[in-house]
Amino acid sequence: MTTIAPPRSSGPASDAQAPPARRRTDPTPYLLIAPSLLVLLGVLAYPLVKVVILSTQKWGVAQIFSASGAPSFVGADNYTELLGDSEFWSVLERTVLLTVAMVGLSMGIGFAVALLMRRVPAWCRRGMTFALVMAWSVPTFISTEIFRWMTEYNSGVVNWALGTQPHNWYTDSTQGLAVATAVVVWGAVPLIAITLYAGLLQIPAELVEAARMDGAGAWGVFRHITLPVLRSLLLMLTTLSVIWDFQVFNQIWILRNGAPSSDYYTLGIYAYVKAYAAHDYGLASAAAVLTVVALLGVMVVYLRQIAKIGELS
Amino acid sequence: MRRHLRTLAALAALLSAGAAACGSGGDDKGGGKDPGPSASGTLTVWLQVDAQTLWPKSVAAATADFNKKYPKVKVSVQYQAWADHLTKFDASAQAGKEPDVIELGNSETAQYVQAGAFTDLTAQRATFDGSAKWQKGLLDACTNAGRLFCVPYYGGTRAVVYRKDLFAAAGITGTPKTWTELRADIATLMAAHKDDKGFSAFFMPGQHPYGALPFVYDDGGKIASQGADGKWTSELSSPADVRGLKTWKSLVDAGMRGDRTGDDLGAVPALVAGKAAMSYSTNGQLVQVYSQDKGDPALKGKVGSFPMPSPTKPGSWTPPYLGGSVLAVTAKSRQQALAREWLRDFTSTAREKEFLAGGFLANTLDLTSADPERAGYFTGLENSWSVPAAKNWAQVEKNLTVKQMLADIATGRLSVEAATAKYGKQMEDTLNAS
Repeated sequence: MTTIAPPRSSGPASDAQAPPARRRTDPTPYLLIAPSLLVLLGVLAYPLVKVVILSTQKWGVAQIFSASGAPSFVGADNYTELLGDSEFWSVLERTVLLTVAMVGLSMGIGFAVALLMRRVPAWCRRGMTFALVMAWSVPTFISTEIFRWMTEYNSGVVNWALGTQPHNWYTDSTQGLAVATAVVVWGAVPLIAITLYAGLLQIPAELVEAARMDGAGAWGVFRHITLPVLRSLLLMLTTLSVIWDFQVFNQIWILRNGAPSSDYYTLGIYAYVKAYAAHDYGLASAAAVLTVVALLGVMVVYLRQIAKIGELS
Repeated sequence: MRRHLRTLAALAALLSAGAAACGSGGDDKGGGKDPGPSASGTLTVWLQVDAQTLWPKSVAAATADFNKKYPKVKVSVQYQAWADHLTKFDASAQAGKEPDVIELGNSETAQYVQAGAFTDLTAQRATFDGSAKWQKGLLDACTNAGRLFCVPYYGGTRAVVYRKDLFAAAGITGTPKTWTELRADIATLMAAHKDDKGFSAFFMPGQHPYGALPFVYDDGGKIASQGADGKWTSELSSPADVRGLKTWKSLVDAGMRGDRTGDDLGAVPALVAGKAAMSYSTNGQLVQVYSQDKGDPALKGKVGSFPMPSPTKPGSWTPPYLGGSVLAVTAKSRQQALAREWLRDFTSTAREKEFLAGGFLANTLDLTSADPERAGYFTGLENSWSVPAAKNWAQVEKNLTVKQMLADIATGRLSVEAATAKYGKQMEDTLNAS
């Protein structure tokens, strides 16, 4: 989930020149954009519309194999059922808590690593960059599998290092989800650290020097120079992380061997189980729609930030 | 959101793949009538991958028999994975391109039978080989309100698998015939390996319902019962169930040193590594212990099986869970007669003998194996039990309700009484959901 490249962090530079007077009828830009627009419509818009329609239907095994073979329209029934289900609320609460923990830890550690990279000698920085890129390139499937081995009951290295008796990390879902958080954070730190390090390089040295002349200490520089300069970058990385971590699926799914018990459900897993285990496609779609709605707020912040960056450059 | 879109895109792809894969069905609208040797078209059969790995020759032989009668009909066998075959079936039905014949696990049938997805085969029952003595656990999965909606394919059950060499090294001769003897052997083995913290005399993890629930049935209990109004009631908190589960817990406490939250997939590696002397496993798992790829060929001849002695009735055995597969003709198939004929060929006595030789139980009690290594697997079958025939049972399984309950009991996180009350309620809610 963190293998997606960050979106463009700076707008095109060509805007510096005044655009030539455009002829209104020139179709070239539209032609150029058409293929990707078509793909987006087919792969994103169609399923999105379909899932919204499904969420207003009763669509399960009984309907599929009925004589008419058609779903029945039930309006908001799926939503009322979900919102009235205490399990849904506990899943939502768990998802939010997990997101907060994952985003907080990955942003905190990522920022700390970026700051550290400015301090260390060049050879060490190169080593750190190399290690970060290596960690970044590991697919979640493999990193999760490795964490699973490390926390294995009988011969896991974590139990050995802690010197505990064979200990099961997954009996208590709090511990199991802590392992999942560790995997996610481990995978998220490289992108955040490298991006923030690049951002740190943008801070003009004279600005820092001037601040020091005015008597600012290390904390003052951090507070009044570093943070304001990195503000938009931090905000963007945080919103992106929230979007990613809110939908965490693979790490938990794999750690629990493809069969997580209900105290491991996040919204994504909950919707998946409702669709593919319970064959209740309508209810699952409603859960998916609610997830999208919950993320919309975060996305608005993110998109506004993108727009702002575009205006600045 | 990305994830859901991807899931949906996958579903959409499945729909179209299903449509493409199941097309070209012959257009004989013969319904129940024999279309005769001139019939043509394609008969689509969905089997699970197990048939492809275990007995591909039987599939070919059945099709050859079928083609003697209907030479122009092409039989297209498509192998499916357990993880998603029902999702694909839903998708194909939605597209109106269902297979003509489909295999299901016996715990998966209820919801489809009750939704009317399969053809009523009651009138043709006698035309299937061995139908007078079909395995009860499989027949129950095919029966709804006294009507037959599918045909038993093959069964599987569990027995105690043991390492003869570890028994001998600990000075144990023969296999235990009573519960007391079994417990004494466990104590002997644990004492002989007391320095090995990873050694289990009896590998019995928590998430092993088919290892735990036989004790419930042995004590006269059951999982759930259905009232006259159709509502299901959990029996897990009943005195009989609680007694049975306490007996099971005592076995776990006495013999299991491994991960108690694990499942029985860990049994084979533990037996192969000599980290377990016994486990309650399938015949397939027994064979894996000395197989080239998953086990150690040097162990051939050093593993055997015996039935689990009954803790309540000396001289008797705990009733095993009977799992397995069934085959159904889809209600919307346009080639009903052809589908039934292929089913007859695939479940004929000759084919069932091959399934038996493949390490499973035939669909009928009449066929048994004389192989001493498999001795444990043919005892007590007449008392075998299966999961409740509730349309939502598959959902209970997917929710891991029973497995979680057992893991909580095995680890001691909850007492038997607390666990059965908590999870029994959950199970009841799921079973009675609309």
